[in-house]
Amino acid sequence: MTKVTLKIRRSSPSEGRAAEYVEYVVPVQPKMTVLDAIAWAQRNVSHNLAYRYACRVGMCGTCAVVINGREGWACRTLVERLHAPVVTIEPLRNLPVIKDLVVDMQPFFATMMGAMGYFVADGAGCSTGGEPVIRMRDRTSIDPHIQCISCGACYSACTMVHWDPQYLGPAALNRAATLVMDSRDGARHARLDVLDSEHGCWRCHTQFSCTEVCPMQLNPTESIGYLKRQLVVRNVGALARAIVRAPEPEAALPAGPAAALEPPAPPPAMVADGGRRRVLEYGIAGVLSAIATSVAATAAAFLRGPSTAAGRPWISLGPVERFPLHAPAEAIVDVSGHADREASRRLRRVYVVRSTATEALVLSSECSHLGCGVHWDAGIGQFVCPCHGGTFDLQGRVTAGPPPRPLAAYRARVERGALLVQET
Amino acid sequence: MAMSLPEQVGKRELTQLRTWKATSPGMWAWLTQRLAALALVPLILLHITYPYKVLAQFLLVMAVVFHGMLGIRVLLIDLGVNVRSEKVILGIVSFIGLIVLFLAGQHLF
Repeated sequence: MTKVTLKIRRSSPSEGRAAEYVEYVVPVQPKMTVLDAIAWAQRNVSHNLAYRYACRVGMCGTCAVVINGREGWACRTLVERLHAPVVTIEPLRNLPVIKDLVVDMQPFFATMMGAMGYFVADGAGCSTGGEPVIRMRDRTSIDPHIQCISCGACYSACTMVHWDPQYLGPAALNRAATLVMDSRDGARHARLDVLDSEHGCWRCHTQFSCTEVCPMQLNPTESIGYLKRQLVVRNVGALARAIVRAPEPEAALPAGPAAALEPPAPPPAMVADGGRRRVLEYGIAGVLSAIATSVAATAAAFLRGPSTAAGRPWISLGPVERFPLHAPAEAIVDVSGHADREASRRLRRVYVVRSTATEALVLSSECSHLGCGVHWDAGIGQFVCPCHGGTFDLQGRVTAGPPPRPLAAYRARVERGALLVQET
Repeated sequence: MAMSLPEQVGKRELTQLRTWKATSPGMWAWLTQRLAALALVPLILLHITYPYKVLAQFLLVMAVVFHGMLGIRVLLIDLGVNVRSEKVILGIVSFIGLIVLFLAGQHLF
């Protein structure tokens, strides 16, 4: 391509000029970056076009802007790699626009302080006149996240920052996470307290926009996830200790000489109110326990299976002589066991088939297909279901039609001349 | 200094194609899961009212599968399984979800 059209969002709030997209047709050189193109436009067309850069070699992050809807560094984005004849350039989001592509970075830097993104020496970690020892284990987990140069791309990309202007944002939380991972740090609990709020790490909904755009290829979502896990462990631990009334673990060791350097106090709005937080924590713990208990009870009942038949009462159908041998006889009996229901909903129609003087089979009249009532047809010697033509033999086995299973049989026995059927 | 309100660029311009072209997979996953959650409410009501309408049941299965598989992805992310692999996880759960959906469709239709 020989030319590219830049569409730059220009505005000047202090001069009262509203935002508008201005186009510049820029000749393309090989390996030209977006920063080169903006500079060409400023030098040759609009001398008052405002933009930022410093090192122009991808080291400082000053030129962070939104290119074709996506955050990036202007000096690191090659025009030809965009594969677009029109390149739309907008200033970083979520920050006040000073002019054109220049935004006020102050609120972004303020989040770094707000998240306590600074090291606080632990008095005991420094031996007299010596250095605090760095642990390799800490270094391995900190190194992937420490390269942040505060360019603001992630803060701009994060939609939660847009919806919650007080949200600390991915950069600040990522920096705080590197300090929480550092065993030399002496302000762990104070820092976690600040992060444990709705404007802290809980505002993150893992949309990964920050990770997607970070020019240093960091993963703030992972850092924030790490912080969430630390907070859960800490808060659940505190709750458990409160329940068993165990003592708190030893607080930070007495301050050494480093304590003379007082870090600025975190903004009071960030620290959740103690009483309200306790109510919330106990409430949530209570609800979770109730849910867990009901799920466990249901699972246990499922695993145990339906209640055993052993204890259920036997119902008498009267003297067994009443029922003819070898021919099914109808009877109506309450075998449902639900004494609280109306009689019409409890009674069941059954067929009694006597095979010998002392043995009887009591079959349910409910067809195993879709529950219609079967009747005995003496002419063909089968139970017949009128709904879909299913037939069953004298023992209840399926002989024709759609029923998938034999007729259900009640447990029955003959005792002292009476026919007894067990409640189901 | 001018005392005007600070002007910010914030909301994505949803009418612009570049906004959607720049939407990352993580954001699509988030959006899809929330939309599935919204869809579940009327679909569950539909499920109770018309248990015999196969299409309604299939739509419910679709919403449940998407919401559930993406929920599993969120679970894995919260447990820290996302160093470089959140897009891989998204691909895996989407694939499993489609398989489950296919089997459900076979069973229903």
